[in-house]
Amino acid sequence: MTQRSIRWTKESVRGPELLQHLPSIVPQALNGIVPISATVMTLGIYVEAAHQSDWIQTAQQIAQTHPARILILSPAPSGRTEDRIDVDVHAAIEENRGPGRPPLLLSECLAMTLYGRIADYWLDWMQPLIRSDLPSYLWWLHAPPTERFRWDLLSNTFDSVIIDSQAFPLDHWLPLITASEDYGIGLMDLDWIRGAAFRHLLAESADDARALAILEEPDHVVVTSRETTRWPLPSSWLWLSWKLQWKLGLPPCHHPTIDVQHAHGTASVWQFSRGDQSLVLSDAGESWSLHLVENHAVIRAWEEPRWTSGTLDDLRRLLTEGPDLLYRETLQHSLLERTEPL
Amino acid sequence: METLMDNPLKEGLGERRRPEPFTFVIFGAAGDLAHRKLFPALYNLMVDNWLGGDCRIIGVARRPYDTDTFREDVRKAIVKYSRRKPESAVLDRLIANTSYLTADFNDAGQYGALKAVLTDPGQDFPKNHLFYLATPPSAYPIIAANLGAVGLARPDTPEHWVRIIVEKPFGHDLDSAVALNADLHHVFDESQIYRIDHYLGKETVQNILVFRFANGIFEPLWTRQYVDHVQITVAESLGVAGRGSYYDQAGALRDMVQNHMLQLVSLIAMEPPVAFEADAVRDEKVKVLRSIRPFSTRDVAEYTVRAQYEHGSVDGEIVPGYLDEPDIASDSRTESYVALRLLIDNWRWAGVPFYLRTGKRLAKRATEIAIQFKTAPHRFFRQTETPELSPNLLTLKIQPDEGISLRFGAKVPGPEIRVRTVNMEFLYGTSFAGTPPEAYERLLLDAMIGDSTLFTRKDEVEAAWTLVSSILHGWQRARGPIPTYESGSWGPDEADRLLQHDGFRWRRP
Repeated sequence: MTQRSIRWTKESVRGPELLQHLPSIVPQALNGIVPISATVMTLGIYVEAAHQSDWIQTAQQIAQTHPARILILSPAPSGRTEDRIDVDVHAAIEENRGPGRPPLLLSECLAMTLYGRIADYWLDWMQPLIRSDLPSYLWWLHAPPTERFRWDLLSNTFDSVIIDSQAFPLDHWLPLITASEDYGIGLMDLDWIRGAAFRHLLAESADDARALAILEEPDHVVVTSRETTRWPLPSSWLWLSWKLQWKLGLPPCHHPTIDVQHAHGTASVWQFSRGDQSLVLSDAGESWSLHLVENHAVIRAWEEPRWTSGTLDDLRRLLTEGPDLLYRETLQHSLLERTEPL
Repeated sequence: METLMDNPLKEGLGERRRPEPFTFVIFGAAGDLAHRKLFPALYNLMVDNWLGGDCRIIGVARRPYDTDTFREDVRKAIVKYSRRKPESAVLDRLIANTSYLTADFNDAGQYGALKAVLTDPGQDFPKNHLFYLATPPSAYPIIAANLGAVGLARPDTPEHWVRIIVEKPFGHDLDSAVALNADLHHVFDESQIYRIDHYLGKETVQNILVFRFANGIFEPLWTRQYVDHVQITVAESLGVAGRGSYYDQAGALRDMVQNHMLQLVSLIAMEPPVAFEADAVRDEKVKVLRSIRPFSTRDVAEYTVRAQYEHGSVDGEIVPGYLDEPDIASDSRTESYVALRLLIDNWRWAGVPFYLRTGKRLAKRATEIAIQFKTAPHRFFRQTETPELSPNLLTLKIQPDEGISLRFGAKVPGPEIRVRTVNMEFLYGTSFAGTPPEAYERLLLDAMIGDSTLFTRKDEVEAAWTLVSSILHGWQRARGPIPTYESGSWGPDEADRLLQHDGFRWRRP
């Protein structure tokens, strides 16, 4: 077996022309042989045109673990122009698979720059390009959409939307979260995957009655992070607050009995204190650690290795695991059912 | 200070498949299995973060190594056999947690030394113990008894656990399997015993359950109403390859059918379990084994075929016959090939024959389960250019080319009605990119966390041996020469006749 890449580029092509030509790009490169497609999903990514080549590389890395049709759409730099598309197709093929066995189309990446009005109708343009009957994901890299977004179109095009609530605060995603419930769109969050070790460590520690007592009614919580403006792992914080019935919601957190503070430091640390006992959860680079401390002495420790290393790894894991019901329930209980202002 | 209180943080949280701190004691740690499979599996589990830093390993074997030499050996084995190129940081961590103890398994006094090491406060080994018997089977009862004698078969406290993994072959007939179970049970509870069959750790074998019970479309067809017959093939192109003395004592029936192939039969034929839990799944598998119609001596003659390979050409190489292989007696009657017909006497499968065949030096390496469906009831196309239609065939490809294919008829383009057989194919390697874990990785992890679903239970082993022993008894009574087949072929003519008798033919994998 051998692997090869096929590349095809064309500028200033109109939509119907491109749609007609797309199915023949790979067979033409294979002397008329139609390959079997091995792709198992469609992943849509909407990015700035200036960064498109970086995203093509990223798409190829994603396809190594998740054979996919990846659609990278970029609006052309502003300016009135006619409706047209520049397209750059990269396909990975496996050939010479034995007698009578056709080549396999392992992945395909379609990077498109949209000019004119079609840039405004990017979601419509994606519809005919989605692989039918297979999962489809839209990785939303920009500022969250507003309430007036065409949710009906989105829900008819993609099964799930991938967000990062670390990059944009969760309350900014409220229109999408609400729409995900109304329109049945799966919601997946890179921040939630990053918080897996956080959740598992705390859950593990809560089997110990001393740790659970601290978590259920802490006097003080101090959250330390590198960035002064961002709270680390906001979605997992919501989960903790919901499960322990703190009713704290998103930061800044005000509570009659729990004093919650945010501090600046070199690593992410959560310290939950009650009397002379505390639980200290730290993101220690390669792994996470959790210490049960009494009068400044560690009386029990837990450790969890880091689950993922970087955004690409987060995404791969997210695509493997799919939508998590617990995440959805967390958002429902913490954000959608709240009556008091966030 | 663990309590049994409700833990709100565990509600809805996915299952955590990470073991508690434990000490892994490998008997036979200097041997081939440990080097080729166990240490690479441990390494890959560590890479994938299934193992924390609190897994300590003690290798036990007769060879007079010191720990440093053993560690170097383990490092080389992982570099050579790991499915992934080793990362030095993880490898160093694994090696640092590995130590060695020279001990003769037969020497009862040396188990005290093992206990002293495990309980030495200075070394602080985790108190959960997982023993792995990567030794010749004759050592299993001895090791188990000695572990029991020094008090290592039971945990120190109710919070800790002790488990033992036993490799195949688990007995060489029903009596020896029953005796071995009794020996192990003398010391360990059934819940502590993990009888490994590495076939069950294969992703494609586990997928049989997912395929059947996670898809609504297939299960209604999975009955005598729609299934014509089932063929299970485990074909090897290799010969006895350095295992002559073992293989000549075992033969294909014991080596492949008693364990791997009957596991495949169970998974294909079982009823849906009430839950994906160890005993629920194994209960259903045992029911299948117990439903297989026993072989009378006459049945053995009629519905089983055994054979030995002759010289021939495999994969373009000239190879010797079975009797000319090293360590094989020149008058050996051990079978290198077996084919048999099974009938499962239950509501779902009554009248549906299951044909099994396995052999060495066959035309190619292939493990497949083919479910042939009944042909369309009305020959609607009999007036056309294609009067005969091929039956639909669903093939689960276990290895190589792991995947699933469905054969069906499609119209050949043109003005006439011609039907040609085509395949719809799913391939693991392309739909799920990346290297899948080795069977031993999955099975070791399961034993570490105490999930015995993919391990063979006592009654399962004994039910399988009951069937296999009845065939062995029939063969012992048979006189005359054993059929032969040419190396590189698909087996003896007698095997073809076994199917022809029922109006079928073996498919070509």
